[in-house]
Amino acid sequence: MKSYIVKRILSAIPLLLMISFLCFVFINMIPSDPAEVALRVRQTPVITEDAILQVREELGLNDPYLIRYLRWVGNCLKLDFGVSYTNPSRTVLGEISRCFPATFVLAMSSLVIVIVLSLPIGFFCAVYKDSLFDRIVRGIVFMTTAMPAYWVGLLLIWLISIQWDLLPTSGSGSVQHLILPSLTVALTYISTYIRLIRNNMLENMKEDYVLYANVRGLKQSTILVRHILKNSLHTCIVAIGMSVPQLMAGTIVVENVFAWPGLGKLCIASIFNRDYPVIQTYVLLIGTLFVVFNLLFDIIQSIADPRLRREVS
Amino acid sequence: MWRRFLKNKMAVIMMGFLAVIALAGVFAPLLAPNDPYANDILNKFAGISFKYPLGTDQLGRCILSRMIYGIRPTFFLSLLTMAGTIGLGCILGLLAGYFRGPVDEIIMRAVDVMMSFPSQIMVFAVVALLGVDVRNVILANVLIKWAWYARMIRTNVMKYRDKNFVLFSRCVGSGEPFILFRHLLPSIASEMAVLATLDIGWAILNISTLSFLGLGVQAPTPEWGAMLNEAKNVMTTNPVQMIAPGLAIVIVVAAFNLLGDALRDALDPKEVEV
Amino acid sequence: MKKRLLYTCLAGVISATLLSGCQKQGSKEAAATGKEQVNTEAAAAKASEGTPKDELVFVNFRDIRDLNPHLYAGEMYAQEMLYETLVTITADGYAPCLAESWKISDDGKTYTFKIRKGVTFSDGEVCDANAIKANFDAIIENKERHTWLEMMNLLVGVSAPDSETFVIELSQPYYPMLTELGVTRPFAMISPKAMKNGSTKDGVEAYIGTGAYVLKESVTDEYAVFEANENYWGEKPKVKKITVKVIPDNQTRILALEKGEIDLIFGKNMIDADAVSKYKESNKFSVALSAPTSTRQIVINTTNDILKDKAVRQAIQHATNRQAISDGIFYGLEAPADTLFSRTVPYCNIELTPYEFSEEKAAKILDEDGWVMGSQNIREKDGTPLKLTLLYNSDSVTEKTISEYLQSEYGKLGIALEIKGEEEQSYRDNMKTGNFDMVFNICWGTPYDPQSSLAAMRQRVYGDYAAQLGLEDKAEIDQAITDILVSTDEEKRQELYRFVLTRLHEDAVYIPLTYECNKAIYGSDLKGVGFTQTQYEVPFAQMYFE
Repeated sequence: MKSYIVKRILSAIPLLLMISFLCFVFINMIPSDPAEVALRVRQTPVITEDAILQVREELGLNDPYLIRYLRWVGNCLKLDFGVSYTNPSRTVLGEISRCFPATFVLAMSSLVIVIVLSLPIGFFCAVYKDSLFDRIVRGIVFMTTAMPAYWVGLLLIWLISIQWDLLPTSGSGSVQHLILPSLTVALTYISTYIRLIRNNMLENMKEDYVLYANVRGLKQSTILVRHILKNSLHTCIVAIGMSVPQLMAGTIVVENVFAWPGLGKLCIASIFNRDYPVIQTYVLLIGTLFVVFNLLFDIIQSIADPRLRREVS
Repeated sequence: MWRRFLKNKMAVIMMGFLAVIALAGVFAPLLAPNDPYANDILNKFAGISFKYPLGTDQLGRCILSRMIYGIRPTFFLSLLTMAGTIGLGCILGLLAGYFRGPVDEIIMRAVDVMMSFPSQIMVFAVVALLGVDVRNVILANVLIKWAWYARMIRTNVMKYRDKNFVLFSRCVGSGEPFILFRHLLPSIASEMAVLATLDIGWAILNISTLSFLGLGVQAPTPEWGAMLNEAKNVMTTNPVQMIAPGLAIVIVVAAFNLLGDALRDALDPKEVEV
Repeated sequence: MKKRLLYTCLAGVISATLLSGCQKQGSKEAAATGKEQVNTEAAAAKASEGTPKDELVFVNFRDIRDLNPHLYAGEMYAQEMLYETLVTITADGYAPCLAESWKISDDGKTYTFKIRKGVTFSDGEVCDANAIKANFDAIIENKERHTWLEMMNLLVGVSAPDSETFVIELSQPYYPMLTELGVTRPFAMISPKAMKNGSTKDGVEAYIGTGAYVLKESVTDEYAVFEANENYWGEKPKVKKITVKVIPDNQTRILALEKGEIDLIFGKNMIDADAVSKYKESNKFSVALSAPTSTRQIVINTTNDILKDKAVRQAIQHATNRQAISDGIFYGLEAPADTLFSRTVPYCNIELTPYEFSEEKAAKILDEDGWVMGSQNIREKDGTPLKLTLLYNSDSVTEKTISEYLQSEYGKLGIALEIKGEEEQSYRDNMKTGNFDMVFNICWGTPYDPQSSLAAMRQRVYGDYAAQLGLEDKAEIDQAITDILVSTDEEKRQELYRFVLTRLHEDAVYIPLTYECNKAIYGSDLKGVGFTQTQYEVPFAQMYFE
C-alpha cells in the first residue's frame, strides 16, 4: 500500500516539472522585453538602451536558460510570482489570492449542485431504464450538451433576473448572487455525471453479486441501495473529485457572463491586457491543481478498492 | 458499413440536415436577403420586416443575412480544427503504436502532459501567448485535442499490429508505411469517424465560446458566438438579439451529436448484436 | 415495489429542497449577514421615519486604484473627493479653496497665496503653508512626470515664508498658471504624514486629504466606501456615505440601477445612448446631460507608412459621416464635431473649413493619389494594400460601435479597417508609445482645453505626440505652442492659436467625431445632480435625497 502511494507521488513529479517548464517557456516567448517592462514598472520616465542593458544584468536575464528556469521555479516555490504588468503596484500572488476564493466558492457550489442533482437522477434513470422518466432525462441531458454555457447564462439572467426580478443579475456579495452562476456551471457538467452514474449502475446490475443477492431473496430496494448504488458511488465520487479542477477551469466563461470576480475574469482581462505573469501563474496553478487532485483521488480510490493497486503494480 | 448506416434513420436525417445547412453556407450570397456587412445605422434594432426577416442589429445590419453567412466560419473552422487534430493525432499515434520503444515513450509522455492540462486553460494560454486571432484558436484547439486521438490510435494499432492480416502483409514483404496506411488506418477509421463527429460539436461550441469572449472570430465577420457577444451588450434594451444565434448553435451542435451517436450505433457491430 | 421506492425518494428530495429553501430565506432575514443588507435595512428604516436617505451607491467601471494625488494612476473622481487644491475652477473663473486669496506680481512671475486658516487633514495634521510646501517639494522631486504642465518647466522655486503664506516663483509669466494649480492632479494636497519620507513618487502610506470625504474602506475591484469628513472646513455634504461599486459592463450597470442596487451612473463613457433615450421618458429615473465637455476624435498616426501621406488622411476625413454617427449611434445626444476644439472653447472661435462628408470626394482623392481598387475590394498603391488598424478602448460603451460603423463605411471605399479593442490601461500604453495606426482619443475638455491639451502634444503624454511626429511642420507647431503658453499679449496669443489649430486642421491629423458630454442616470429621488467645470469630477457635495 505505502509503496504504491510513494510510487504514485513520485510519478507526479515529472509531470509537474513539465507543466512548470511549459509555463516558463511560455513567458519567455512573449514579444515584450522583461527588462523594459521592469523599467516601466519602476516608472522610469525615459527608457534608454543603457538602462535596459543595466537592468538585464541586474535581473540576471543574460544567464543561461536552465539557470533562469531553476531560479524561477525557486521563486515560485517561495510563492513569488512577480508583479502584474498592467498594474505594477499589484503582485501576481496578491491578484491570484484575491480572486481565488470567489472561483473556489463558485466551483464548490456548482459541485454541490452537480452531486445533489446527478446522483438521484442518474440512480432513477438506471433503475427505471427506458421508462418515460429515463427518456425525458436523457433528452434533457442531450440538449444541455449542445447548449453553450454562456448562452444559458444570458438566458437565465434575462428570464430570472430581468423578467422575474428574482435574483441579482451579476456580481457577488451574497448567496443570491451565487445561485445563477453556479447553476450555469453545474448545467454543463451535470449531464456527464448523470450519464456516468446511470451507465455505471447498469453495468453493476449485470454483475454476478447482484444475481447472487437476488437468489438470496434480498429485497430489491436493499440490493439497489446497499449493493449497486454503493458500488457505483465509488467510481462516481472519484470521478467527481477529479473534476474539481476541471470545474474551476470551467468557470472562466460563466464568470465573464456574470461578472463574478474570480480567476476566470482575471484571466480573460489579463489576456486582453497582455498581462503575461498573471496568465502564466494562472495556467501553472490550474495545471498543478489538476495533477494534485488526480493524484489525491487516485490514492483514495486505491485505498477504497485494493484491486486497482494490483493492476497498476 | 454503408448499408448499415443507411438503415439508421436518425443518421441519415441528421446527415441530410447538416448537408442542407452546409449548402446554405456555401450559397450564402444567393440566399441572404441583404449584404451581411451593409449597415443602416439609422434603422438599428429594427423589428421583423419584409426587408429584414429577423430584424437588424446594433448597426442596422440584417440579422438573417448574418446568420446565414455565420454558417461559413462555424462549419469551416470546426472542420478545419478536426482535420488538424485528426491529422496530427494520426501521425503521432501511428508512430507511437507502430514503432514502440523510445518513440512511443516520448510521444506518450507528451500525451500525458497534454491530457493533464484542463483543455480550456490550454486554449486560453495559447491564445494569450500568440495573440487574439482565430487562427490561434484553431491551433490551440488542435494542440489540446490531438493527444486523445494519438492515444486512441496508438491503442488500436497495438491491438491490430499482431493480428494475422498485418503479420501476413509483413511476411509478403510490404513496406512499413504501406502496412500503416493500408491496413492499420482503415481498421480504426470507423471508430475515429464516430469520435470526430462528436468532437465537431465540441469544436463548434469551443470556437463560438471564444468568439463570444472576444478572443476568436473578430468583427465584423458574422459568426454566431460573436453575434451573441454583441447581443449581450444590448441585453436590457433589445433582448431579442440573443435568440437567433443561440438557437442556431444549439441546433447545429445537437445535430452533430445525434449524428455521432447514430454513427456509433450504425458502425459498432457489438451494438447490433445486442 | 420499485415504484414505491421512487415515490419515497422523490418525496424526500422535494421536501429537502423546500426545507433548504426555507432555511436560506429564514437565515437571510434573521441574520442579515451581508453588509449591504444592513445598509439597506438601515436606509429603509430611516426613510420610513421621514428623514431622507443620506447614503448613496455610485458605480464605476474599474477600481479606484492608487489614489496618490501626485501621480496619475488613480480614478480622478475619487481624488476629487479626497483632496483639494489651492484654487478651484468654476464657471465664473477661479475661486478660493485652500488658498483664501492670492496676489500675482506685476511682472506675472510671482504668485503669493494666503493660506486658509484652520484647515486640517483628516488625520489631524494642520494644512498650512508648510504642509503645502512639503507637497510641492514632493511633486517637484518627480518633475519629469509632470512636465506635461508647462508650469513645471517654468518653475523657479516655492517657499513658505510663514505658515499662512505660500509663494511660487516662475521664470516667465504664464497665463494658465492658476488653471494648472486647480486641476485634479498633481497639485492636490496630501497629509505630509502620509508621505514616504517626504516623498510621494514611490507611493504613499495612506490617502489622507482635506476634502469633503474620507476613504473608509476599499476592496480591490469590488467596492470602495467614502464617508463625509466630519472636520471639513467648508460646507459639509448632505450625502454622508458613498459606496462605489465596480461594475465593468454597461448592461450590468443599467440592470443594477434598475434594480435599485445603485443610485447613480455618471460619466462620459459609462452609459450608451440607447439607455439614455430609454430612461428619458421614465418617471422612476432621471437623466441629466452636461453641455459639451470635449471632442470625441480619432487620432491618425502620421508616422505610419500609409498615413504619412496627407492625401490619405484627408480622404479618410471626407469618408467619415459625423452626422450619421451623431444621429444613429447617439440619437443626436452628441452633436457632430467639425473641428478639433469646439468654437466655444477659449481662443478656438476661428474660421476653419470642415471636411464635409462625401464619399465621391474621398474616392477621388484616393484615385488621384494612386490608390486604385485592387482585389478583394481593397485599394492598393505600389503593391501596398490600404489596410489600417483602429484601436479603441473596450471599457468605453460606444467606441466599439463607432469602430464597427466606420469599418463598414471605410470598407465601401476600399479602405480595409481592422478594429482592435483593449482595456483602458493597455489602450493608453499603446497610445503613449505610438503603437497604433488610428486610435480613439478625447481632447481633454474643460479646463484643460486648449492650453494643456496643446502643451501635451509636445511630449509623449498621450497619443498626440507620436501621431504628429510624421508631420513636416511638427517643430514649427511645437514652437508656436510654446510661444502661446508664455505669451503675455492677448492678440498675439490668439494669432498663435489660430496658426496651430489651422495647421493641425489642414494636416488632417484629427478626425473630430462628436462633441461628447457627461451623462448621468439616477433614481428620481436623488436631487442636485449637476456638472462642474472639471469634467472628471462627480459633484457629490451638491447631491441630496428627497
